Amino acid sequence: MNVTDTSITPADLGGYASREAESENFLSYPKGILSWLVTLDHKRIGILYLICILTAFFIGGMFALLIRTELLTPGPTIVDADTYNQLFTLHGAIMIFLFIIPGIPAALGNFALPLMLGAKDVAFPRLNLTSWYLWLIGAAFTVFSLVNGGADTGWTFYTPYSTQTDGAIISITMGVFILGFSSILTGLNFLVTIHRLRPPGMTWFKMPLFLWAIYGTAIMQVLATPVIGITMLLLIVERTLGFGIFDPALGGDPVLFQHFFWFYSHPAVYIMILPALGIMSEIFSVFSRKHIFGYKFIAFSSIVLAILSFLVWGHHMFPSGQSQLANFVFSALTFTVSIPTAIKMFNWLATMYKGEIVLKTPMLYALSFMFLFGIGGLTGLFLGALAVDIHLHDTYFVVAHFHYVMFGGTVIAFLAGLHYWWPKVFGRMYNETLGRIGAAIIFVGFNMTFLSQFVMGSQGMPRRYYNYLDEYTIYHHISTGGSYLMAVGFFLIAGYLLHSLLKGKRAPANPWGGNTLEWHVPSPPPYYNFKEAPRVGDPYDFSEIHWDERIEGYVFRKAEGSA
Amino acid sequence: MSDQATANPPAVSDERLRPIPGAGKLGMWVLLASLTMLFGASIIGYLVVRMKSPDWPPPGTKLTSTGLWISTLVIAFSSLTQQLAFDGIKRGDTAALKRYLSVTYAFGLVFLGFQTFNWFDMVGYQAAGAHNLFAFTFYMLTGLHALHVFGGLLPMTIVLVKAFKGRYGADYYPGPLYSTMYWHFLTVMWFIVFAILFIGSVGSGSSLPPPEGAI
Repeated sequence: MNVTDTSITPADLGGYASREAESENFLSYPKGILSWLVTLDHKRIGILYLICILTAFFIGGMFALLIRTELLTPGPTIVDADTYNQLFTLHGAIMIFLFIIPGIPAALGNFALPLMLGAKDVAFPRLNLTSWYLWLIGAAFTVFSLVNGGADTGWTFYTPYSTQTDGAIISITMGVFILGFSSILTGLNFLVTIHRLRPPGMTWFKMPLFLWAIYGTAIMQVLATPVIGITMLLLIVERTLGFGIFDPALGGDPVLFQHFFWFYSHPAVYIMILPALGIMSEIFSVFSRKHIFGYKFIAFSSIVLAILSFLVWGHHMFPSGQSQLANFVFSALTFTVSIPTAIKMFNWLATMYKGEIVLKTPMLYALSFMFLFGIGGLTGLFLGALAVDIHLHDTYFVVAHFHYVMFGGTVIAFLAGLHYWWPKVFGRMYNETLGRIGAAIIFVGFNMTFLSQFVMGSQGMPRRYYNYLDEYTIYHHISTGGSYLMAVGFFLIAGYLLHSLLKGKRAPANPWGGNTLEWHVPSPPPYYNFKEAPRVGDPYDFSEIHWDERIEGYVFRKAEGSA
Repeated sequence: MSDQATANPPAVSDERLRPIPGAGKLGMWVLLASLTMLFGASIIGYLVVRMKSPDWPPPGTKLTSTGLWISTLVIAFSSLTQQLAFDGIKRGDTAALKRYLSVTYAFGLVFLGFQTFNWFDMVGYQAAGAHNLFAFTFYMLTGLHALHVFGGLLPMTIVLVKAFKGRYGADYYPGPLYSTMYWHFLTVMWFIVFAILFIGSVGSGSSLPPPEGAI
């Protein structure tokens, strides 16, 4: 008698057989475009966000390619200097405000949070949908600035230039203002969900680490975003009514703008990176087939990062003329950020140590992340040091550091998470071989693009310049070549993911062998997530999860009733 | 007694809309924390400009304090009646809810009226020195607050209508609870804003009356 035959019951697949559930999963029920536009289902709202932010990523990426092409040679290459200024401004603003900030929390987080928590939805489903519509309105304002004369201030909108230039500053700052509402409401929703919707047995320390990261992110979204709101309003008032709170000629203070801007925008950087760190904690454990090492340290380091994020904004302003004491304090506080970050890195390394590492696509991205975020983090120490920062401030070194953290960190983690949850979201597998090739192309292309920028930055190439000396040409060539390679990689990824949507193989409930609750329900999940109350156990215990060749996925054995 | 009503939560069209115990109250606290950061940043902006300024208020300008004192009394009184309305519905006293909620609503409108008067008063003083930051920070802080009073009165209208329709009872009063939390927040925030504007306006500058000919 075949033992495995009898041991698999529909319960192993998440309560009932996934083939029967197909007719009632969240993708197919209810039907019609309208049902998507008024949906209250967090999974569908997650997909709506995903479509939108990927569109924003595409637009921002096209601007990036235009910027790199322009910089291929010194002097004019394809566009004039004014257009170039608008290109890098819109590249920055679209990537940051439309793509990275909502990227992981609002798209992947919306999908995964209630499932991982064991809840049927977020606490306020209507508010969740409202956030998405606010994103759309904010995005419309931001993109409208494109046709309305363009903005040329850089994504930081520094005064006094931003109050004097002719560009479409009001439209783009209005967009940022509205996107802020979307972000605050999402954060509020997630905070309340994690507090109030944990099912019986789901204690704080049984929560998957991704949820700790989302929790820390939500705190920052709620507390930091109002400050950019009032800053953008004051900027608009200064432009329209001529009251100069940031204008020294009228008694105002331009450095005040920088303080306000970075008081939001530094936590905003952590809003971007913290959920990425959360995804890493999930993937390193699952693909090492080993319990996460130092659970509580990783969990608390997320909260510590959220708190520290409010205390280091001044390190963006070392040469701004703020007091020496402020520089000293902000520099010292900046170095403390490396502690919680390193705690996470070392715990992931310890998780992999003596694990059975499975090099599937999500894990390849996770390993890329470790290299790239490591470089991004360590070069942050250079910039946090007062003396070194004077030399490196406003050079390509900063650009490279920023991209190693935001692209090498957040975007790579976003891709890792996308590949990790893709089978769960859409119920389809993608081509694993192409997935691995895509990850490799992105890794190589990324390093070509930005490693060369560290070199030219340290040699004095200033950021945002349209023209440059001949000595930098070779680095710009390498950088532009790398960006084209990445473009190839992204089109490959888009290609096989679209193919997966249309013709991909059916995904099992648990293709990777994860033990967080989303892997206990069928792929795609049913309309209300859980047909019965989920069994909450240790999310990183893989002892009862075994590979089953017949469904080409993992099944839970001996787990029934034991929790 | 017919006033001793008990109401139940309305039926939901979708399972996921079923109210979660405590979620709304926590959500309101989170919102108030967010708003605190908003007012905090605005007040810090005021203080930075105030500290940098050599003479504050500028010659010929002063804080229009009488109207502001009246506004303060009005909003303090409205917070009191809001609390009475909330205490009433917790006992199931729907008559008290209707009575005191209406008074609060009316006083909210009166507050906005006085603030409008204060604004025009400041415009008069401000005519002496065009576009000065003393006037602007006054508009910024009081305007931000007035905007949130207005934004509070909109949902309060719905709560008021529901109260008169008898939707709330001793077991079900989310609307009155949230509006009470929000309203007390506005009152406290007004005390802080007014105190800072008041203290900020005495000090380095000369508090002269407006020059002859000013409006």
